Amino acid sequence: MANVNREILRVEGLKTHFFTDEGVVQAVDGVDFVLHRGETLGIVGESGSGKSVTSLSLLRLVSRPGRIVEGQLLFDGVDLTSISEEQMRAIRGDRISMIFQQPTTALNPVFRVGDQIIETLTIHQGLQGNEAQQRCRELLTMVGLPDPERRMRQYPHELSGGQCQRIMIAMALACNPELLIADEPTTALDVTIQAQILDLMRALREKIDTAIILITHDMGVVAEMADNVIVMYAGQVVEYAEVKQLFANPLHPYTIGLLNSMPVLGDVRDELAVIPGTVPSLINPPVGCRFAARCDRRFERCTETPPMVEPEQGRRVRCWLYR
Amino acid sequence: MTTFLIRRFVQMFFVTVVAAFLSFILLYLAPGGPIDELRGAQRQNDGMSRVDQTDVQRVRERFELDFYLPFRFSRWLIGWPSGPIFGAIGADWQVGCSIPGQVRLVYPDGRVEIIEEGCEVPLTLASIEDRRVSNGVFFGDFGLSQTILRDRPVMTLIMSRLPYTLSLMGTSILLSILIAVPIGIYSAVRQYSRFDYTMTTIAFIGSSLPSFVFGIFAILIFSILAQRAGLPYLPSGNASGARDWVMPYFGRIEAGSLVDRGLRFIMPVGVLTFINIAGWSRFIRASMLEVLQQDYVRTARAKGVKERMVIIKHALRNALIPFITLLAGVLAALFGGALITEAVFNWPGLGRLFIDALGRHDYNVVMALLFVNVVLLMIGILIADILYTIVDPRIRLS
Repeated sequence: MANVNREILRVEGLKTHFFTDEGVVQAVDGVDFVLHRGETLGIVGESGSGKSVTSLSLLRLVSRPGRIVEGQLLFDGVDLTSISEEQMRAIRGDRISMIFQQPTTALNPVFRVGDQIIETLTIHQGLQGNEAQQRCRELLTMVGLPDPERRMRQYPHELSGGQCQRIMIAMALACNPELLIADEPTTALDVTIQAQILDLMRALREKIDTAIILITHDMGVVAEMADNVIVMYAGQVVEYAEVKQLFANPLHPYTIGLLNSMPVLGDVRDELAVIPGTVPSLINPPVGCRFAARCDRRFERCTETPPMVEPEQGRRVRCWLYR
Repeated sequence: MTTFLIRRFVQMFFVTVVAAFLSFILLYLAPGGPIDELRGAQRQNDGMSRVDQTDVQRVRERFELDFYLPFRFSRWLIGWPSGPIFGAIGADWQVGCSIPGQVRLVYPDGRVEIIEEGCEVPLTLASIEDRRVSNGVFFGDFGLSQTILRDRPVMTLIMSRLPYTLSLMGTSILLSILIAVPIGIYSAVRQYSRFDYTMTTIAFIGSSLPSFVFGIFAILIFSILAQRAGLPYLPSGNASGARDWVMPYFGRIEAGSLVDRGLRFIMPVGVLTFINIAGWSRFIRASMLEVLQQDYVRTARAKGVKERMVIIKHALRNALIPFITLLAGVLAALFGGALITEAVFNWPGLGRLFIDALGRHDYNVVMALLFVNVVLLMIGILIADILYTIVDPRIRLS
């Protein structure tokens, strides 16, 4: 149990900006959170809220013109922003690995899937030849792909989206990572396949005890998978809570809006509630609360930047209402 | 695979014949030709507009202009018709016109014009029995050269020029690939860097100016100006010198020696390589840029693959797939030569031969070169298609 509560990742004041011709896009603007071993943290928010950029920042894979400008990423006590590129590369795929949204395009079309998994094994564990093949077969069996021998010799285009995602998961788990980042792992898949992949991830989580960061805009997925949830809006964390608390008693007006816009089975409504307006431009984000323009509970104070407050133990919210 | 190949070969056969027929027709239908030339020459010589009818007749026979086009083509292609069939059959069948008929046209305003109309003396199978005919291109006989190397086989002529073109094109294509691919990759990886901007500028110059401009500038700088400045210079043309020459700081260079040939090789190869690099490096750059944005490249990085290997293994392999299309034409180019560059440097290759043959109405030589080019182009495309399936598992032959 002691292990479970040990901190694996501490993100402090992460700012990732994109330096475009139109101006500086503050895609991630001051994100803090802590993740413990074995914990699953959901990150939710609309498109453009900075979820994916946050996750890519953790691997230092933000591509130009984006750059981490501030903050610390303490992974197992080591600040990832300060280590060398070579040290970072050794961590990628080994201690931190990632699954992406589009499994069919995330695999290289010209290499056999077996070889792509084995590549990871060779890089981080030095496995080659029969040994690597054997481990690859084990991994494929683990992610529920029957006939691994045949699968290994296939190319990505010969597999379905669900099968490709299983391959991606096998690849990500090849080196028993301490942290797995799943960026919308089910968004591109059919609903039935989505359920299968989520079941698989849950089963594997029990088995290998990895901390997971699950990025999604699907509140249903969060409810099923996560222990704790971060709600992001316009590059900032607006609420952090334990998953049950969040669903039972959301605090931030944005979270309330998100939950209201979710269809509920058996609940007959004429139309789904929507949050009016769109995510503000992150080149010149509004002064004060970034959600104020869309918020139905705004008042004078919202023109000032709200602080992160902790209205109850283990809950944080960035809103003047709870001050 | 086998059915694919069989189908492709049948297809290639028909395309070749059609392409050959079309170029054949165009070649003979184009204005000008040996008879016009003859008339022009005579008009200049004696100021008379009347042309000796026997001379015209001789030229008509020599260039087979008295055959109707389809028969002219089939004689070129398969060496038929070459006379009556089985001794007597079809002896009086008409395959052409020996002496065209003439008609006087009188315009209302009194002007008179004589035009060719109908046929006065037809050309029959019997009358061509003792004419010389090739075995036909189809059976590997390209016939005889008509003007350049009078009455010697076209094949001999081509073979004597082939080494020059092969060495020129082979070297420049190889160099171009070896240089253009790394430049393209580096430009893409360091997009918008100073290196990339420099290469972009050079490539734009290289692909926007016509090739003879570079040839002429190269000659101006490396031959003429260098020689005037008393610096070592490069000879401006020919594949090997006629007499010994002296290069400053270097000494006497023997005509036809390896050094002489090597020095004369540099400029044409350089110009061709430069032009190729300009186009190909841009191509590789564009293709690489697209691939570098793909999800699987990000996956490779997330796996902890070394950046070098991400580029060389994961990205390059995908980026080179479209490049294969470009290389389909290389085989034909290897034998086709560079028309303009060869002409500028007076390089005795097949490209210059082609231009000479066109100018001097050596139809057999022109057709032989066109034909070989069509065949090689098609083989090149076939090889490219097969290469695609090897490099890209998503593509299947069917």
